[in-house]
Amino acid sequence: MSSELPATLSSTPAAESRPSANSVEWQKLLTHFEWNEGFTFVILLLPDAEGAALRRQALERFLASSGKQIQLITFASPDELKHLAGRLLELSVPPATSAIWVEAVVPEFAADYQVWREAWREAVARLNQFRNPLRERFNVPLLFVGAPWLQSVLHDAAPDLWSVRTTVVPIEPEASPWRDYLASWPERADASSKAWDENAPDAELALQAAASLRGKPGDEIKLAEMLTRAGAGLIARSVNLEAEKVLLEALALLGRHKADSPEQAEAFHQLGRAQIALSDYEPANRNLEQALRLYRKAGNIWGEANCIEKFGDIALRRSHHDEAQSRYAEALPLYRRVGNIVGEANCILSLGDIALRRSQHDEAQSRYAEALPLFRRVGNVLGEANCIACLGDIALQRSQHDEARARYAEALPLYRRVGDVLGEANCIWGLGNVALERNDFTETQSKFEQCLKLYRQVGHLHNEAECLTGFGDLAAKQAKTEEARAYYEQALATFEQLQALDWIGKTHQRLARLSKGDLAAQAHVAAARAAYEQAGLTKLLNELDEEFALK
Amino acid sequence: MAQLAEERQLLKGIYQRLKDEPLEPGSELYQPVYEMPGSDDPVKRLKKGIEFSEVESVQMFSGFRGSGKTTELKRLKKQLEDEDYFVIYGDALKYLNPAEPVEITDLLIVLAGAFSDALTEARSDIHIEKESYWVRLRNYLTDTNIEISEVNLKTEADSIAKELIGGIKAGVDVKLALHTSPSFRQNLQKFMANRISELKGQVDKFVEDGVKAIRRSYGEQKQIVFIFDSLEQLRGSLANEKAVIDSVMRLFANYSNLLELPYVHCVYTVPPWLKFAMPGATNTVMLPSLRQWNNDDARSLYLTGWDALRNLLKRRVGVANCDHVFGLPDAQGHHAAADRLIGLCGGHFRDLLLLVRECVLRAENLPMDERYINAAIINARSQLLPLSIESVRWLHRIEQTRTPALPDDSPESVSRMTRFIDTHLVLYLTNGEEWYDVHPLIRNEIGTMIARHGLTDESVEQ
Repeated sequence: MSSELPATLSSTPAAESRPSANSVEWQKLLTHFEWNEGFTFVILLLPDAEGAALRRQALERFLASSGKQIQLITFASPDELKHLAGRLLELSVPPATSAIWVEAVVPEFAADYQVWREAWREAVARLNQFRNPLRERFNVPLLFVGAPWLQSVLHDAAPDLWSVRTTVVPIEPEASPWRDYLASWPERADASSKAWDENAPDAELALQAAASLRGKPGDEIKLAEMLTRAGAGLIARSVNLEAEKVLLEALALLGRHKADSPEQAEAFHQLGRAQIALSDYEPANRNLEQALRLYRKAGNIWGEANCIEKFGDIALRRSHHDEAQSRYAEALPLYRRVGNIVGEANCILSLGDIALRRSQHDEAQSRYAEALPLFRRVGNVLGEANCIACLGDIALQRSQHDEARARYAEALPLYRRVGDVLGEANCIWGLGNVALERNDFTETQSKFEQCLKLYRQVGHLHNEAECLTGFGDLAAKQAKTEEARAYYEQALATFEQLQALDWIGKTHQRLARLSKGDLAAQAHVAAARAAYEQAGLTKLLNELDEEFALK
Repeated sequence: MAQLAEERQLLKGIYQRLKDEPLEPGSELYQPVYEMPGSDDPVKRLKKGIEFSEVESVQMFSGFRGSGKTTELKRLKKQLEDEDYFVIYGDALKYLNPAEPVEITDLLIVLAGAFSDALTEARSDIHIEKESYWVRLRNYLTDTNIEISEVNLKTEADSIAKELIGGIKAGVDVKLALHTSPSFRQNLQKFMANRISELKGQVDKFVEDGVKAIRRSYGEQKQIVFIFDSLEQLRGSLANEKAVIDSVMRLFANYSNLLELPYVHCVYTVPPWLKFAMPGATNTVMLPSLRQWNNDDARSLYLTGWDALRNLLKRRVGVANCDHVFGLPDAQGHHAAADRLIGLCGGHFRDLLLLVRECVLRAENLPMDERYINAAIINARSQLLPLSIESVRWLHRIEQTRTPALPDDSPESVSRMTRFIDTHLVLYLTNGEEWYDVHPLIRNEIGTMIARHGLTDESVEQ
């Protein structure tokens, strides 16, 4: 959205090129202000609040040139909006006012969209009977500024007011969304064929198709399908925030046009995946529950297995290892039943992860070794990379540095080949830890900086926090105690937000280590102990007790 | 090429004349569309109903949004005054909340109150004996003795009466409370439920006093007309539509005889959906959409309607400006660009004015380019969309049968049909007989959706 908009058409240079639809619509509104006398009712439809702010500023500049101003009415909450009628009927309008701007722009895919829609509906329904008093009261245009859905709310709930509208000014989103998405990921802007899942849909194609369908009545379900497809593609490229956005939009459409359908199940499932990647576990759980219900209703075992596996992933990230184990064990036979080798292999891999976290190295190694040939059999490069990297993690935990470095070095190009930024970051993280254990601080700093940047790029809060503990470890090793403490505390805040018990414990343990001998250390030890107990991490608990001589 | 200053001034002037407001009689912008040969002039019908009634009468008048009701009522008022009737006007919205159910007791009180206000506000030379109606009502309520025969009722009625009368004695403004306080109104309804005859008697008495006062000042033979507008806006909100519709239906089904006021010709605007909810129950003069085509498969043009709209446009744009704005006319003197817009307005003045306004706002130079007209049409069409599949099915049935095709007479179906007409998706037309059709702006959309979603004739008929 451009920040400078033309004041009047007559002041712009002769246009050889055709103006955009938006500039024509906007110019229409400005011309109305130039020519109008008296009360009019105008509806301005904008995609989002940011766009509304820009347009309001543009109108303010336009009106200021004749010494006029806007009277702005906004709302801190939907409840405030419901009382719009009273506010308008009691409004006193200063003489220099030449427009009353009533604004609440909430896109359809916003989390609180339903609440705001209901508030608008109630507000205009109350206002409807005061159409004539409004005309009598105000001698300037009254603008209602909202998202495109405001139009249908007005003609359903306030038909009298709607019937006396002077004009409707629809302003569409400016840029093609698919360009925006790629532009937000500059290093990968040409990676349209690269995704960690080679069978993942092409997000660019799907978004282009969605853009061509948007706004066409009757094509809502197809649009939702394209958005779901785009979401899956974006997840594969770790563009998770944008994936969440398009999937919410898809669900909004499906909720209205095809509720309780297989399409909706898929959209819920993909949304859950995006939210897991964003470490947004509560909504992810809810959405996956919805997906599971619908998959089961349709008898879709594949979808059912996917959802259960994702529940396992959430539990694993939260260090609820028993629950995670139970979920993977539940999903595994379902995958085998439908012959989904990748799903089967991922479950086995995840079971290996649980064992690794419990420091059950032999068990973990056995699982990874079982999963690796399955991934190779189906040519799943990402799964192969994950297995190899995990074997590197085992070697690291066993302080087998050469073995660890070899494994990470083997996995890294595989992650890069499929464009899995997270996997790439994890490998670099592993290599950084190898360097740390070898006291190669320069190499450690370099590697940690690289992987932190990548974790932030994909929005992986958990690993970003782990990386911060790594910086803390580096600082601690260099006797920079306060610097280390700052890193650990920053990381702890994130782990607590994510309820990642194992890392809450580990971080408290690190903080205790820094403060050894004073009261603060005791508090940290107690907190670490509580976290390990809650997570059932016996080995770590024993190590804690041993380190702090609690036995 | 930048627009010439002169052209912009011209367009500005036209834009201001395209404003959508009720017109006063004699306005140069007024196009007498209902006075064309062969058309059923609603004002004439209402006037006839008044003229042919000796002493007093009740006329019901209705029309959907944007059909020109208020303009036509003003025309009626002017014509009656020109023929020496004494005409007073009241607006229901000043007294009733259109989002709340209405009972006959409310309406009787409000009619008398509006009659009283119209006399005292507009005509200082009329003095009613004793007090205004509101004072009389207040006195009646506070002086009434409660006579309750059953123990159960005594408790409930007693508490309602106490609350009501106590409030009034404490200074509650009855007129204001009736308008703004749902609880006051409900209490009043309950209190008056068994006193309808008594109330009617008082209202009639007051109106008689009013008539006498008018005739003292204006002559003993003076005929009086009371136009009570905006009753058609009683339709409730989305939450209580059924309750409001039910209350209005009860009112007209059971108490329409009580709406006669002694020695007064009353003209009430009534909700248009009464046609569907109670067919034949009320003899209502209904304003149709202006007809542009005939009720045949080909929709052959009804040229009288077209000419009326062409003339309407000429008045607004200015006869001298039409060639400049719309381009040179054809051999019949018609402007193709204007005809394109007229052809898509569905006979609705508001829609035609909206279309032309959209063109004028976009026009960078004259005569108007196809681009501006196309953009205006797209904008106007988008305001009627989106259509749900369910709506498309029903609209397609209407289009095919040229009837309302109501699935049943439930309040929900009545309400939906009313919405279709109020939002101009469906047009109510007459050519001696009444019929229905869908708005030209959405016909293609309906066809496309029917084809896309495989809605066959059989499935549509279901």
